[in-house]
Parts: sequence; structure tokens; C-alpha cells
Amino acid sequence: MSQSFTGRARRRTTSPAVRVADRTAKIFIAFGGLATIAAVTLVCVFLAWVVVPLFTGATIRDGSSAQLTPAEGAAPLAVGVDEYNSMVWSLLPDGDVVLVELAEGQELDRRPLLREGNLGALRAGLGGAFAMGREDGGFALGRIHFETSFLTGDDVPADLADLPLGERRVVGRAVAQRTSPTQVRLQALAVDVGEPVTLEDPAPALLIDHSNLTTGPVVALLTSDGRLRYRRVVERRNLMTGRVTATTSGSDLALEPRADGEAPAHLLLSGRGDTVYLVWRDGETRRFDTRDPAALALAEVVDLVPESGAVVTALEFLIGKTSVLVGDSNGRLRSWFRVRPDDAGTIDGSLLQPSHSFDADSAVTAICASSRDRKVAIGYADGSVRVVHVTSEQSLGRVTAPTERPIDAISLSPKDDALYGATAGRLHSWQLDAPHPETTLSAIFAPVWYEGYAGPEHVWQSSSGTDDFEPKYGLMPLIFGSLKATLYSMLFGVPIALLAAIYTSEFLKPRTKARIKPAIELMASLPSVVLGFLAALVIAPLVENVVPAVLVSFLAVPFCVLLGAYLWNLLPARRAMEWAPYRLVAMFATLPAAIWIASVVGPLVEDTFFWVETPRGPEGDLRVWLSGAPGAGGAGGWLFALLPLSALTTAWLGSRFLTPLLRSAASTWTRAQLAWVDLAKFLVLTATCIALAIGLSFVLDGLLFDARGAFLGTYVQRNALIVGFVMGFAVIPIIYTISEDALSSVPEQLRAASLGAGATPWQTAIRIVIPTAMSGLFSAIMIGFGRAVGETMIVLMAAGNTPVMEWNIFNGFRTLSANIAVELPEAAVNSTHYRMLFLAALTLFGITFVLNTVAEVVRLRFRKRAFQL
Amino acid sequence: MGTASTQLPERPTAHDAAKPPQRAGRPAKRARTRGPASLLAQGQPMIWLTGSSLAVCLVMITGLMGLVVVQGFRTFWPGPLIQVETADGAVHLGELARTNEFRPGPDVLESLPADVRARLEADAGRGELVRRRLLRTGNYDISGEHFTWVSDYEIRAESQPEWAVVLERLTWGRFYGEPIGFSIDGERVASEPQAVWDLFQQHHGTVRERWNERRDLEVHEIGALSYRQEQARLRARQAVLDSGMGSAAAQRAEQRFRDVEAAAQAEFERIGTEIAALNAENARFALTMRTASGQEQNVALADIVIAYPANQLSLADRLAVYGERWWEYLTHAPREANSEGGVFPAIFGTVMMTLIMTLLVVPFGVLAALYLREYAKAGPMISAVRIAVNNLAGVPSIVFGVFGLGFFCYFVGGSIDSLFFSSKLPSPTFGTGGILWASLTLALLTLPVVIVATEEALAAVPRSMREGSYACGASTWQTIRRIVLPRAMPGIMTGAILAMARGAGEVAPLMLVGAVKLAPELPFDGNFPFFHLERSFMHLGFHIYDLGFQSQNSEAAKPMVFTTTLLLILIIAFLNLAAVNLRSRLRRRFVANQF
Repeated sequence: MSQSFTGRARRRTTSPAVRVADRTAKIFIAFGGLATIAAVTLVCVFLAWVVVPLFTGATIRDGSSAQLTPAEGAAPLAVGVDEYNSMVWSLLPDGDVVLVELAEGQELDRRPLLREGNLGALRAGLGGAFAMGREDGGFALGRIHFETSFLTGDDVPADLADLPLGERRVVGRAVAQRTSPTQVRLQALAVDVGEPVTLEDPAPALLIDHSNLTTGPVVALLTSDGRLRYRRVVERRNLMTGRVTATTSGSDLALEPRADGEAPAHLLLSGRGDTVYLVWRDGETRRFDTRDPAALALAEVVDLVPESGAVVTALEFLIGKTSVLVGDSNGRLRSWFRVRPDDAGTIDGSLLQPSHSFDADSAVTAICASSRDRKVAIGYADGSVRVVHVTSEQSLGRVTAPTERPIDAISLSPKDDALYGATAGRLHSWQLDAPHPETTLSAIFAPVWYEGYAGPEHVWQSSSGTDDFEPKYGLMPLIFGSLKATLYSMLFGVPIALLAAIYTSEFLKPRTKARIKPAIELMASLPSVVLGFLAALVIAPLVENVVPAVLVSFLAVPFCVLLGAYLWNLLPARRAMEWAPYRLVAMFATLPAAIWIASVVGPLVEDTFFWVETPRGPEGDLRVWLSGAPGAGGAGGWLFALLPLSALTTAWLGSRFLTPLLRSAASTWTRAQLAWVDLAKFLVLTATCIALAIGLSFVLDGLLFDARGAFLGTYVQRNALIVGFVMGFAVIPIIYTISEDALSSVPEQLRAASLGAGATPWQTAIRIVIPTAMSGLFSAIMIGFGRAVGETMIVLMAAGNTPVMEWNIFNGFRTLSANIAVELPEAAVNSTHYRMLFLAALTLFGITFVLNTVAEVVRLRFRKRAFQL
Repeated sequence: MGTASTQLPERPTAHDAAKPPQRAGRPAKRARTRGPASLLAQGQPMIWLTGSSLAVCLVMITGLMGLVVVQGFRTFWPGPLIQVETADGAVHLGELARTNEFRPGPDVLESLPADVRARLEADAGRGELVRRRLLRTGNYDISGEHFTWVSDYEIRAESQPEWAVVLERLTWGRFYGEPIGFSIDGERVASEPQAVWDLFQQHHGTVRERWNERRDLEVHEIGALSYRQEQARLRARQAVLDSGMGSAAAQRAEQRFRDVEAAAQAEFERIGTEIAALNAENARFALTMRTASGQEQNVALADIVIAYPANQLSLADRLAVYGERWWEYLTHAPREANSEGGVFPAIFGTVMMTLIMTLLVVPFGVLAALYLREYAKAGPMISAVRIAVNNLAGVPSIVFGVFGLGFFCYFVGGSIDSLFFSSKLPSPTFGTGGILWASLTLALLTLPVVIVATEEALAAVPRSMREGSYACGASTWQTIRRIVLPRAMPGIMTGAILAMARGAGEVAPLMLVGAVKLAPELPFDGNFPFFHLERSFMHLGFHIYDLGFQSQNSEAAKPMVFTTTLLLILIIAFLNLAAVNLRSRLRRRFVANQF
């Protein structure tokens, strides 16, 4: 203890309370601060965590193996598993269906499909639906499936009362499983066989296939005497007796026999019943157009296996029964579907075309298409099985059965979580985990060849009304939309914002600046939903009626402003200085003048350059002209593209050649004389510019290049022009504020030195201030760019939201952000769609992160440089 | 000088521009040529281009604000009612909504009588356009239309009937017509407009009171009863889940639930009778109206919200109606798919969400800024964090919405549901969008705003003050608490207000995490625990989007959208101005503080 000068004893140690408080605060603040920063990084990490499963592919794990049939006998035609993976049916070539329980391999049930007569042809397709042709020429349709029943409470038989929760037990011909303390589920085989249908003029069936349309089933048969028979079946139930009678309609077509007399090996009928394929072993395929059941016709002949020596070893439809999957003895699986080119030359206007293929080193022996998506399980002769996704061409995995004998039949479980292969009388099962088979990096970012398309394309189409629709997750149209919105809004916003910032920082008095700057910053705080609403419901309908005037005003405004400047120059020097404070007012006055000129000139331009042939003679109608109606003419499209270019050219020529001439000549002139000559120069240059543009556009139009189709096209009310303008409200204040700050922070002594050396304020601005602040201006543009890329509400409301990829300024688009806002609320959690939308968000995050980082780095450099000055 | 400067081979950079120009060669010539040539050097055209860009910006912002303000304030103004008789014999009565001019197409001209057609064609030949007016004719239940276009050339007669009355109804929107009867208990007691109107004014107040009473019963008492009942049911289910079916606890809870249910049933019946009595009393009064086309229609008095004879109003009356409508707008719930009535739930939701967001974002933002500025050691790590935080301010808001939906709603909310609200599953409690998740999402979105503002405020506290504090023996925390934070407080407040302004105007993320078109209940009510943070809510911004974009009849909804827009802009402008004000006060204070 020492004595202080106040006389009180002073402690030299820190009191424990202060020490504890200090330490607690430090820990608390450090923890809170670090946690906040961690939360911020969590955003990126979580998005990535949701997205990653899209690209992790699939796993196939070894499962069990069960004896399929008691005796090693004929290989099954088809196998099917129930959705709980507890039992499997197999359809034997003799028409018997055998049900085997999977855990023990116990045979539970065996039923013949056909009670009487002999089987001629049998084909089972997706979901256990089968068609069988009898030797007497008739046929029957049916379905093999599982019957599920739930027993609750007292209905549960006594011998199942002790079944523990989740356990399974065989009860007679069924498998029981307890699903809850009070409930037991029973699974059993069900074979529905429809009433046999007899046909007139019977002949034994060799091949058969059927499809179920909304109007009823259709059947295609190949008979042993070489006829193709196509029948629509209409079933009627007699209300009194309950008997179902089937009547058929359709026709026969006698096939032209092949030279070698060989019979076709496969017959396929498409899902819509409009095409029948007859396939020979060597790959020759005849496609028949069956849209008119009464008049079957050969549409085209294709070789499905063009490789010499290869033969077709397996043939199946993909889900939807549109794509044909062809497996050959070389081990290649190829998918074929019909496309509709303009010059098809077939009677139904479509051509069968190969699209995707998957190679292997052993012959394909069995194919099973998934009932959920475009996955396909392939069995090979060497006992291996492989799962692929056809559209994305992704191979999801390959495993080999221990027997290494050919896979006779293969099946994917209803939930696509297991894979079953029948080989050598045994059934092998594998667990399959392929949650997102359709997404690979290239399927998302590169063009993908979807079913029915003429070639690979970028498509985003996430939902549709039909069940067998394939979602198309190509992100490019959305990225394109975001870039289009950004481009057009930046084209409008950047010049205005930068020029306004230059004027504010260099030519405005501080007091006026203090009032004007907050007003523009207020624009930044306008909620974008307000801008979107105004864009969609006020501005879009307004602009729609005055498109020519709006287009003309883009040129009329600069013209009027420049004209105003040259007129201002006519003022005597003293007057000009006196009135300098009111210059801004004069500038304001040029705008209404420009708009008046635009409203007058707009219709004239429309009549001259965008006319359409009407009964009353050519009439100006820009919107009809844009939609490319026949009889539309005029060189207007090129005119608007060329005017800015020719303006730049003439401005450059003028400043390069005319101004130096003028300058040297002017040494003897008075100020007023020079001003008049300058005005004349401006008018001459303007006239030159317009003449140049019109001349060139007529030349280009005469050469039959049409401007429509590229950056011009059909007018849609909600379009890029509107979005570009309204997004300006969002982008301009940001770019303006940041670049104005950058310009203002250029040290005052640089300006003073320049002005002192005799430079005019404009020369100072353009040669001293702007180069110094250049990096600040650049980062302002980058940040504005980032804001425009991610803007949601404006584009959601004003861009029409059609995911098309065209630069047409009068058409809409769909951006990443609007797409998320529209689709995410409907996407099922953890589905591919959901994760794709997260990928869209991650893409947006990435784009803006890169832009902002570039801007930040540039700005830091700028700041350092500004400090050095 | 003038001639010399154009022959410069290269553009001077900033550095050599700062040096004195070394090429002023011929001083004698300069004096002579300076005058005229300097005109070219002044770059007047370019300056005008920059200045007019600024003018364009200002015109854009003032035009937009002007449009919103004018349209927004106009919505509730009771204009006169116009009755027009058109050439085809139809009579329309309504308020003027819009006027525009158009050129009639050939199909329109074909359908006109010859004389009108000839006149129109003559006009069109002179390039004249035809004026047409959009009348809001209401009576949607009779006509199936809210609006009618009337072109000037088809009008045969136009008048402003003295007794044209506007009724704003609870259902079917507005009604325009003449009062021709007032009935009590089905008996017509008056049929002269003046007498009917007097009777209406005499009874309308009490009828509305009864109606309000009934609604209070329905909303508050029945709502509270159902809430209690639902809670008891959930407890019973929870007991079954916790201790198994048929256990003692489960049976007790089940018994309690039955007791509560029985009690509630009795209560329901009592309230039901009360409501029925009020309804019966209200049903006695009805107004008979005749539309412009002569149809008669009975309107129950309880169905009428506001009524006024539009063509007899004095300015004071008009102001009164105007005020009454604003009051209804600000304090009532919406009707007619949000296109009529008020936006009170949306205002409430916006304010509550913004407040919760502020409560969340300010402490954490300040902590992070304190850590970055006062505790963390400067280094590449900290500058990387700072760049990241600045970057985050530029990340699109929809990305935060996606994160909020995936992380807060599905991940965190789903976990909370399975832990604490398993009795309600599979219907989610926290596992879906709600006001808490929306606030958290926006808090994350506005975090950079608060961090950056706080950091700036902390940096603005002069170093000398900190050093003085340390020299007096204060610890770091004491210095921060007593010296730094009080000085930085206005800056922190500015950050908080800017965050509020940003948060209140953001809509895109809210669409994903809990803003809904129509929320059945407010997130705050009289039932324990009073704040129901899991509930979805209405929001002014989303209201605009929904009404302007998703509404069936966007033309009828447009005036309301403008008013809502005005309201939202006013709220945000108010917050921004507060921030600007605070910032300038803060600056002044520091100017005073610095020596």
C-alpha cells in the first residue's frame, strides 16, 4: 500500500470483480463474435451440404441370394418384387407364376396363368402387366401384382398375436409383418387375368404386346402366318349379370416376309399405341404407324444394331413406353426414340433415332426399366448387373453375381431400393441406393438429349401434368436468364449512374449535392416488391402501347441533351457564367422536349420502318412486325441496332478529324462564331449518323438478313426491356453511391493542381479525377452487377418467367432467383428438385461472391492508392 | 494552349497530371487563342450528358414516388358517382377509375350505328383519339363485373343522381344503387330515399355494434375455447406416446381431455346461443336498393360496412368518409381475398417480424463487431473475415431464404418437432415456415449491415479516448463499456435502423420461410404463451406481391396495392430518415469530440 496524493490508501492490484468481469466479457464477446461469423459461413456450408448428394452417384451393395425354383429349369421371363422387398414372383416360360419368400427362399404359391389351352406367346412388361396369346389365336391380358391387406385389433389371427413389431412371418401363402402394436400387414400374390378374347380368322400367336391407354387396352399380335394384328379392346360390364364382354376393333396387315424367311424375335407396342415395332434378331426393325387402327402402315425400316455380327439379345421399353432400349451381343445398350424433324419423309413425320448408349464387354441378356424414372438395370451374360440412368448417361454401378452365369431376368424393386437378378435358378439381390441418378455435372450444365428432342439441348422443366414426364434440370436457361436480366439492366443503369455520379461529384455545389444524394440513396431503399409491382402492372401495360416512342426516346434524349449543350454554348461568355447555377434546370428541361420529340417521331418511325401489309395498304405496327407476320417489311430492326454503332462511329470521326480542324481554324474566330460552327458540326454529324444507319440498314435488309430472331423478336408484355428499365431503379443508386464516394475521395489537391495548370473542370474530371478513381468505379459496377444478378422480386413479377434462351429484348426469361421463389415452396424436401434449387441458390451465391470479392479487392487497392496520393 | 493540348500524343495519367504542365510553349500565342478555343475544351456537351443523367435519376425517383403517393392516397377518396346511359340501352352507375384515349379498331367501328361511325371516322381521319372511361360499377353479385369501359361516343345521357349510394359490403364488394326501401322484420317502413337514409343512419350504428360483438365472441371466446381443447387433446396424445397406450398416465390425460371437451361443448353452446340471438336481432333490418339498371336487391344492414350518398357529400363529409376508410384499412382484417378491408394483420406481422429480427440481429452483430474491432488480433484471418462479411451483404436475399427454409424450417424445426411436438406430427409445428424462422433468416441477412455500421462507429471513437481510459487504470471491458460503447451507440442505432429498413422491405426470402397470403391467426394472442412464434404471418411486402400478382382480379385490387405500397414505403422511408438523422447527429457529436 502506498500513499496517494489524496491521502487515501490506494490498491495497486486490480480488484477481482473487475478481473472477472473483464475475462467474462472477453470470453463472451469472443464466443459471440466467433459464433456469429461461424453462422455466416454456415450459409455457404449448408447450401453445399444439401447440394453434394446430387453428385455422389449411387451405391450397390451385396445382398442375399435365394433359390428361385426348386429345380434348375427354364429361366424366368420376368421377375417382380413387392415394395417391402419381402417376396418375389417369377414368370416362367410355361406360363406359371411362382411366388418365393425372400428371407428363407420358401416357395409360397404357384399358379398357371392359363387354365386351359396352350400358350402361344407371352410378354410381361412394366409393373407386371402381361399379355398372352393363345395357340388358338385368342389372347388375354392381365397383371401380376401384390395384394396388401391390413388386419387390426381382433382380426389379427391368434398365431400372429405374438409377432414382434417389425418382424415378418409366413402365414399360408402370405407374408405377415407387424407394422404397429395393433396392426399387422399381409402381403400375398394376386394374378388378375382378364376374360380371354377371341378373334375372327384365328391363327396361333407368335409374339404379343399390349398397352393400356385411357380409352382401354390395345394389343398387337404377330401370328404364325405372318400377319400383324392390331386391336383396340373395349370391355363392357353387363350391369345385370356382372359379366364382362370384350369387343375388339382394328385391322390386320400381312407382312412382307424376309428373304431368309426368319421370323421376328420381338414385338413392341408403344405406350400411346401409335407405333408397333417388329424386331428381328439381327437388328432389322420395321416400324408400323398404327395411329389409325383400321389402316396399319409400314413407316420405316431401321437397323437397331448396325454393327456387323451383333444381334439383338434383349429389348425393352423405358418408362412411358416411348424409348426403346436395345441390348446386343456386343454388350452395348442403346436407346432409340422417335424425333420429328421437318424433313422426316415418313408417313407419320417422325424418325427413329439412336441417342444414348452404354458399352460393356459381355452380351446384354436382360433389361429392366425402373417404374419411377429413367434408370435401367441391365443384366449381362457374364453374370454382372449394371444400373444406368439413360438420359444423363450416368453409370450408377456394376456388380457381379457369384454364379457368373448369364442373368436371365432382372428387376428393380418398386421403390428402386433393391435390384434382383435371376441367374441359374437362383435369385440374387442387391441393395441399391441411387437417390439422384439424373444429375451429373454435365447433365446440369451441358446440353442433354431428352426423349423426343431432335438433339441435346439446355432445358429447365421441373414439373408437368403427366406421370411418365421426365423432369429436366438444365441450369443453363436460368443462368442465361439471370445474365440477360443483368445485361439489359446494366446497359441502362451503368451509364446513367456513372455519369450522374460524375456530375454530382465534379459539377454540383456542395449544398445542392447534400440534398440530391440522399434522394437518390432513398431509391436504394425502395423495396423491390414495389418496383416489381409497378413494372408488371403499371409500366409494362403502358410501354406496350408506345414501344416505338420508347425506342426513339433512347436516341431522342441524348440528342436533345446535346442540342441543349450546343445551344447553351451560344450564350455570351458572361451570360453563361452568370446563369451557370441554372444549368441543371436547363438540363431538366431537355427531358420533356426529348419525350415530346419521341412521341411525335415514334409513330413516324413505325410507319416508315416497321410496316405491315394490311388490306388498307402498309401500316406501321411494330408489334406485328416483330412477331414476323407475313407481309411485314421495313429495315427498322437493323436501324435500331446500327444507330448506336453509327453514333459512336460518327462521334469518333468527329472528334478525331473535325474537332482538330475546327480548333486550328478557330484561332481567329470569336467565341460566338465558334459556337455556331460547333452547333452546325453537331447537326451535320447527327444527320450523317442517321443517314449512315438508315443506309446500312437498308443494305442489310436488302441482303435478306432479318434482324428478327436474334436480339429482336416477338413482343411479350413482360420483357427484358421493362426489367432492364425497372431494375435500373435497384442498380442505379448502388452504383451511383459507391462511384460518387470514389470520385469524391480523390484528393482535392489533384483537382486544384489541374485547374491551376489551366485545365477546364471537364478536362480535370476526365483526365485527372476519373483515372484516379477508376478502380472505385469498377468496383461500383461489380457490386451493381451482383445486385442485379440476384434480384428476385422485380424479375419474378416483370419477366414473365419462361425459361427460354434467346437474347430478344422483347421477350421474357426466367432467372435463377425467380425460379427458386416460384418452385421451392412446392419442392419435396430432399428430392432432386429440392436439391437442384439449392444448387441454383449456391450458383447465385458463387456468382455474387466472386463479383463482390473482385470488387472488394479492387476497392482495397484503390483505397491504398488514394491514401498514397 | 488550345492547339497544343490536342496534339498530345498520349493521355496523361493521374501522376503526371499532378505535375505542372511542361508544354506551355508559346505564351504570346496563348493569350490570343484562349477565348474561342476554350469553348471546345469546356466539354459542355459531355457535362450536359452527365447532368442530364442525374436529371433522369431524379425524374425516375420523383416520378415513381409521386405516382405511388398520388395513387395511394387517392384510393380511399370518395368520388362522385356517374350514371351513364349508353347507346345499346344499358345504364351504368359507378365511380370513375381511369380515363384513357384509344383509336377504335375496325371491328368496333363495324358494330356502330352509321351516324356515330361516320363522325368517328372523320375524327380518326384528323388523327383524333376517342376518350373512354373505366367505371367501377361494383354489384359483382348481379353483374359479374367490377368494372365497365364506357367510350364517349356511345353515351346517350350522363348524370350524377342525387340519391346514388355507395355501400361497402362484407361480401361481394361494393354496391352502387339507390335506396328505395328500409324494412324492419320484413316490413317496409320507408320507401322515400331521404326517409330510408335517415332510418339507415339511425339503425346502422347499433347493428354494427352487435356485429362487432358477435365477431368478438367468435374470434376471441370460441378461439380460446378451441385452443384449450386442442391443447388438452395434444397432451392426451403425448401421454400415449410417452408412456404407452392404456397406461395410467395416458388414461388420466385422456380423462382430462374428455372433461375439457365436455366443458368446452357446454361453453360452445352458450356462445352459440348468444351469437344466434345477436344474428337474429341484426337480421331484422334490411335495406332495399335499386341498381342503375332497375334491379332491386335487399342488403342486410349487418353486411354493410360503410355507406354514403356519394353525390350529396360536402367536403367535410368526404373527408370523414376518407378518414373512416383509412381507419378501417389500418385496423381491420382483409376481406374479399385481401382486395377489400384492411391490412392490420399484415402491418402487425411486418412490425412483429422486424422487431424480433432486430432483437436477434443487434446483439449478435454488436458482439461480432466488438470482437473484430476490439479483441481480435489484426492479421490476414481477420481481414478475410471482414471481406467475407462485406461480401455477405451482397449475397442475394433469396439465397438466405433458401438457407432459412432448408436449415431453420426443415432441419432445426424438424428436429424440434420430433423432440417436443411429436404429439402433433405429422402436421409440423416448427417444421414449416413461421415468424421465428422468418425473423432469424432476415437477421442473418441484415447481420452484415449491423456489423459494418457498428465497426464504423467503433472505429470512429478516437483512439485518444481509449488511451485516456487505460491510463486511468481501466480494464479493457471497462473501457469498452464506459467509454467506447456510449460513444458508438448512435452509430449502432443507425445500423439497427438500417437493418430494420432493409428487413422490412425484403420479400423474396419471406416467400419461402413463412409469409402467407392469409394467416388465420396473429402470432400474438390472449392464449398462453401469448407469442406463437411458430405461426405463419402476413407481411405488407408479400401482401403487395400476392395482391398485385396472384389476385384473380388485379384491376380491382390495384388501388389497394398502391395504398399498401404507400404504407410500406412510408414505413421504410421513416426508418431510413431516422437513420440518416441519427448519423448526422452522430457525426456532429464526434466533430465536437475531436480536438
